[in-house]
Amino acid sequence: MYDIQELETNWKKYKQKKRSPWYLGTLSIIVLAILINIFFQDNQYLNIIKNFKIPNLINKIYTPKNDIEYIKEKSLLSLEVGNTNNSNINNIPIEKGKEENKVKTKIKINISETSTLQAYTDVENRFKISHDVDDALFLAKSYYKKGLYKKALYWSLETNKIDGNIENSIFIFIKSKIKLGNKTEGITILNAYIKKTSSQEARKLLFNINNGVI
Amino acid sequence: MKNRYEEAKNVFVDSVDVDDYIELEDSTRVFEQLKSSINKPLKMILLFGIPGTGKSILLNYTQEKLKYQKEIYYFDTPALNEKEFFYKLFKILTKKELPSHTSVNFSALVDYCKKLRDKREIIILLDEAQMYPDEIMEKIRLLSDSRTVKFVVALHKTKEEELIAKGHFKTRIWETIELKNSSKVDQKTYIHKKLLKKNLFDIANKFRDKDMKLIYKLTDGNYRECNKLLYTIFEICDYYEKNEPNKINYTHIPRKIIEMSALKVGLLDV
Repeated sequence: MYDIQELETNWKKYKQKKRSPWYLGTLSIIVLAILINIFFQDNQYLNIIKNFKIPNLINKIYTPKNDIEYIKEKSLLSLEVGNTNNSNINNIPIEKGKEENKVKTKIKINISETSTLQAYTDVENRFKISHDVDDALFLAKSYYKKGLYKKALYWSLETNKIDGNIENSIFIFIKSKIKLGNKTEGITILNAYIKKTSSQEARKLLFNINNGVI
Repeated sequence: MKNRYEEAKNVFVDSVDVDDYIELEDSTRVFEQLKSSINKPLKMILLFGIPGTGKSILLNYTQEKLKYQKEIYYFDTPALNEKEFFYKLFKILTKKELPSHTSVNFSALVDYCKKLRDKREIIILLDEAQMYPDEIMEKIRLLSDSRTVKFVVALHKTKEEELIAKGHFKTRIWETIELKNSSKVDQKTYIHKKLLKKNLFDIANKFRDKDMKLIYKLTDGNYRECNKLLYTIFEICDYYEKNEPNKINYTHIPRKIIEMSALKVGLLDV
């Protein structure tokens, strides 16, 4: 046995050759696993970027450059509320949370400033569904200011039906009665109210009526 | 343990010695088939198989087993020429030496054979028959027609040799027996029996099942390849034991040594 060294060398070569496909296979699997991992991580990053991009974009679009622009924008929106249907408002691509706030603000500004009665009709329609006491009181006040005393009388009564302790509602009712020519009835109601509540505001109102201010 | 590997190595020296014949399930079946064919009134029997399937040792074993029952002769190596072949045949048939400076008259030999019909039945086992020239094979065919001499022709199984068999003996060969490589179980038994025959129990136990599977995978169950591989395994073990004992494992035959042996005998490539 003189060739044992050569045989051992050959055996080492043989083992290397035999193992090489396994090494290659293992290496391929590792590389593949790394690639898959990178791919999924990229996708995660993409999702994160997507999630962050959208709100940032909205903020960019709707963040006012200065206060004047912001007020202008609000006024514009308010005007639109006054002249368009609610469905149109929903079509404006703004963030949901902000939209709700803006709509509330818009309505108040709209009613106090607009010359059209469309906004009151919208509130009346809304009241039919919501029965919100604030809406009823708002309509009573608004109609009284506009000189629509019958409507003011009606909405002050509606307010009173929901909550009988709102002083403003009772005063509008009394003032509307007087404006409609029922001064005696108005004073009688006011006296009954003063007797019941001893309200200073009610006494002032009585004083004003008696002095012909109202 | 000293020198046990050397003993084991010698067990696997490739030989056709009857003493080395190992009775296995398959080899016993083939021997019984051959014995049965010899007993039939056939002119020729064809024994074929790829090299290393045990044709030669089977012929030897058959002669050994039947020599007291039948007039049976074993021609191990093919005659170099026609003259030598007929000289051997003349000697068997006439039981006399051919006088010097004379040659066999083939026609007279055939006539002589015809006269011996029903008196003698001679069986000639021709090993490595593929090496006989066509002229001799043709004369063997004519001799077998006398029905006095029955030939058992052992051939390597190749496409070409099968054609020879078909061409020369198509009408005469009445039975063909094919020898195949051993099964996994038979090879394991073969290795164990070989070692146990020489009382090498401890060495036989060093082969685990997975080692046997590897040996079978490498040799495909071929007896000659198995002998070569086992011989080399023990040769390497013997060398390590004597020169680098740290490389030898006394509980089992290391896979490394089996693979090194396979590389040496050409069963594996680098």
